[in-house]
Amino acid sequence: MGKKLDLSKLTDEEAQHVWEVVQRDLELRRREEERLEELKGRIKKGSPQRELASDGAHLSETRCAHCLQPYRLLAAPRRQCLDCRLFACPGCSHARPGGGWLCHPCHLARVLERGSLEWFYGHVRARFKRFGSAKVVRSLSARQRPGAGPSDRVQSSPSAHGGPEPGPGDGSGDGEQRDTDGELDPAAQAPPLSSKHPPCSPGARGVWPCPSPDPASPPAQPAPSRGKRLLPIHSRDFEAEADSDDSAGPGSRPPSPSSAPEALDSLQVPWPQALTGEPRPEEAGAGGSGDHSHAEAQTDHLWPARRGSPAELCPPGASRAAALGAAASPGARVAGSGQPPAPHPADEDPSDDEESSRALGAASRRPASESQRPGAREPTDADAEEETLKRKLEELTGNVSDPGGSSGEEAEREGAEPGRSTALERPPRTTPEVSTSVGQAHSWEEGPPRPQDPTQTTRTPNQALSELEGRVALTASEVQQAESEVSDIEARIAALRASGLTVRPWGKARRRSKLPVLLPRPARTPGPSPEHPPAGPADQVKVTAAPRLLGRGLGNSPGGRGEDGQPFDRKSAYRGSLTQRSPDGRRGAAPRSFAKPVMIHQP
Amino acid sequence: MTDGDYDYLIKLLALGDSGVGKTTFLYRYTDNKFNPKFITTVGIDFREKRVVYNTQGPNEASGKMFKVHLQLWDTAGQERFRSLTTAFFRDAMGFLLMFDLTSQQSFLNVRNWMSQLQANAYCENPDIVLIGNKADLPDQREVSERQAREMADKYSIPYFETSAATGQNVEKAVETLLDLIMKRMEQCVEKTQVPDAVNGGSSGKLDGDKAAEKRCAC
Repeated sequence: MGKKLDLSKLTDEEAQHVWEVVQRDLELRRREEERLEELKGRIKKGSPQRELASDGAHLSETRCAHCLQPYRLLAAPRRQCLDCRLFACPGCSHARPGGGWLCHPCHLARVLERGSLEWFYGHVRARFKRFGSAKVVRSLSARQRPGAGPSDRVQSSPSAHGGPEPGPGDGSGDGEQRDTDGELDPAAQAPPLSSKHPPCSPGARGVWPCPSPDPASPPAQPAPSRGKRLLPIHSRDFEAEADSDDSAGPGSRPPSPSSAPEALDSLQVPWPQALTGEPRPEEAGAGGSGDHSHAEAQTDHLWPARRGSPAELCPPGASRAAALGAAASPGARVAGSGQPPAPHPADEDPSDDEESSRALGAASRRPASESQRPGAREPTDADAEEETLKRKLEELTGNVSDPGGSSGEEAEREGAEPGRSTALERPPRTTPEVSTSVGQAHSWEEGPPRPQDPTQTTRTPNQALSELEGRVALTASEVQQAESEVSDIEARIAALRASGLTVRPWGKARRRSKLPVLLPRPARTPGPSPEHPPAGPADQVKVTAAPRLLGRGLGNSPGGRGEDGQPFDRKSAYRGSLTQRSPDGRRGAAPRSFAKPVMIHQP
Repeated sequence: MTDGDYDYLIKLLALGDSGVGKTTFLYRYTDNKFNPKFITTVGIDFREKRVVYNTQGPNEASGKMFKVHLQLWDTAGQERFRSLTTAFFRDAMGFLLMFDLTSQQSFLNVRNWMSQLQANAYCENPDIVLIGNKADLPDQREVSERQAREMADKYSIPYFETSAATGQNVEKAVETLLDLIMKRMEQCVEKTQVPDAVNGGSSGKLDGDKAAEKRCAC
């Protein structure tokens, strides 16, 4: 979450009160969503006559498009609707304040558009990741599980999610889930440090709830979670007011990340697994590809819930489960290769028998948590590093922005990111993003067979290579952009110097030098692919990578992809905030922000 | 009250220093009652009220009636809740920025609250009304009306002197804010639809211009 919401100072009673208030708010939001659903339903009803009238041109000449009554010159003159251009009688039309008329359905449509207050929520989405209550719920539930270390969280989330995990296509967001997801979601994502993904927000409405990022979660799995979350939450969670045609139905409530996060979290776990497995030299590559298969499994898993109409796309149940199993097992194999996936604590996922697909998910999950345990120290390393990075960053952002709560939020939010990115999970980070967004299509079309399909594995290295080249090119252009910004800053500094101020430029050189690191890492993945079945999905993911990257655009990506060390990330995160804000210019124009450090550095 | 029979759910938020009377103001507004006891708000709270809003079309006198469900967020003024309360700024479409007419300091802090709003509200220039509360205590007054009006003019926001104790101007202040929001909404919706609807009407264009001035970015 943007600004870290520190609720630790609240007493238990206070937290309880806040919790209740927030629950009331969530309830209000749910009702609002229901209302809008109903309104939508009403609008749809109006259509049959309308179609009839618009089909027969002459019919619409003589009769009202809605009630089909004939016009009469004086008593019932016809009026053309501003929106649909059909004619309607006075009884079926509404006067516009500014002149002109709207027929009833169009009027309702406008009412809906206003009533949904999209103008407002659009702004909020563009500016923040989640609404206030959601943010607070998150923090509160994090607080309710004090002492849960990062790895604990990882482990706990699957079990917590076992229950409410939505079956494919179920409407999600029924009352029960609702109550829990407030807790579950944060439980898994609780870690207060958010790595906001600046790239994901601007404009794209879907992205807004992109809570993915902040849940940031333990350092071990930031990337995966981010990528995954993008999809699900957006449809369910916050979009609800505006458009919830996806299955959600009246039952689903705005803040119901329900299905999404659960599915996510359950699948999220495998990531750290692969990561912790990575230290082993011979497994590193395989681990990477195992990741991909998980990512696939995940998308398979998520999509039905999200679209609400899995049946159209793939035979529900069996084949899907098969797909999952296929996808998941290689991952499990990879992780478990060192340690046979033997006995798993039964308590870890109490409800894994509920559904075959879930069981499979759980199966892949277990090795994860297993290998996670030995790897528990890892998060602490990363934490430490992250801490130092954050401190540095705060120093720096403190210079550029108001110390006041205002811009602090952004700075911190994006600031957290660099810290994350330096942790060792770089390779998974890029791929999951890819897989979630673009891979989904693939996973649906060819989900089941793919993981075992050998032909794909054979042809993939080349493809992967070309994809990688594409990515390199993209990254290079990003770097260029970043550099041009740097030079811009330098120019400013020079100008300031000329006017008699002294400025100490920080870390420009480092910033550039570290970039190339990006190359070798992803390049490793295709290597092992021929021998390892899991590589199949991985490469698939790769193939889809390019569009994804392109789609996100250059301006977006810096924070997410800076494989290089902190300095670059920090810088780009900063830039990200500027671009993100551009519609509202919250951060203000560049000159303003640059002016401050200058003042500070003044001797 | 809790049924879905309304046209708009509008969310307002009261903010200002601790003790300026946000809670009593809202209590007066929603329940038309006054509680002189000072009970500090724990973090956040909200009240609801259903009102009817009459539009006055720019050209036509005949207004339309909307049922509006108001969600009135009440925030703690205390510093220790600051990060919690500011998180809710983004949830509101309009703001009742309050100070205490009997406290110069609370008035001076209006500036800080404004910048908090700019940083944490849904956009940089949300709809705000400035409210000087406790107008029923003229002998303890520390902030002159002129001062307050200057401040309000500086930010181009309406100013009201209210009293939660007597109810003076309480409704008017909220209604003014609601009116601002509804107008903004109109502009935003109008703006997005003008391209589709060939004939937006002359007044629609005027609205659009106004919206542009207000830097409404939708």
